[in-house]
Amino acid sequence: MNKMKKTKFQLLLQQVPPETKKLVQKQDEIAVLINSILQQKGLTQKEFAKKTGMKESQLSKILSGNANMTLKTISKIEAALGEDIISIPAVKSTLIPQYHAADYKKLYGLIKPHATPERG
Amino acid sequence: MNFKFTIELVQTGTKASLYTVRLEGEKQSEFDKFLSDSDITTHAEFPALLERIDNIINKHGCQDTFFKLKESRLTDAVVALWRDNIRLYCCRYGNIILILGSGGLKYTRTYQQDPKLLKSIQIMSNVSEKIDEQINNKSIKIIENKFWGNLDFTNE
Repeated sequence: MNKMKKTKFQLLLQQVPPETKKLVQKQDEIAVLINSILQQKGLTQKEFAKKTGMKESQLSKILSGNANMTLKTISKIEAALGEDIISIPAVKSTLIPQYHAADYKKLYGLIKPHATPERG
Repeated sequence: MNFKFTIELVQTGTKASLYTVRLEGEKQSEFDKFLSDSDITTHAEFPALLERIDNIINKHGCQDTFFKLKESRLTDAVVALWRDNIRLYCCRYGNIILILGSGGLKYTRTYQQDPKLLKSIQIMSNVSEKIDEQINNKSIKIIENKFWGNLDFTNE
């Protein structure tokens, strides 16, 4: 079976660096999310720009997925929306490290193994 | 201006389909011309624009937030996909179909001041007008995220 020849678009898309993919993914998701929240709240772009103290042109870039926002700008937007637009996963912490039995023996050397019944 | 053209499918995604325009007698489609323009492909934001197109067809659909709307006339479907000063002119049909044309780098205040951008928009405006006529007389239908019907406008 012949594989379908890739289009020029598909070939160029394969060359997009991973960090660019991540950046555009986040810009797009943030733009869609903010637009959705503004629609739910019945806020126009102009009204929201006034609420955040941002220029309309700057907000327009954010809402079209073309801005590289600082944490400060993200925080300003979140405060004005009353909702988070990004979240950071909780860091898992283990207070007690998980050792294997062999490591305990090395550490404590003197610990004798429990007597095990003979198999018969 | 009146152009003769065919509409060709480029790719179908989970959220939208991409088409392009091939002018009569031309080897390359309008979108392929855009992808072959070294002024555009060497622009720092070109890879991001490609990724945006991929996200549009596979994740978000052709939501109006990603486009500069009403780039041509108020009554037609011509919009611009953009990244920095790159402009890719398209015809947008709801969130489900995008016809990609060509474009270029915008250095002028308006597209009318740039002959290359102006021609790109004129082509897409013509495409929009012809497709609207065919949709209105039911020769072309939009079903799910595809065009159904005659997409050959070379005999107009």
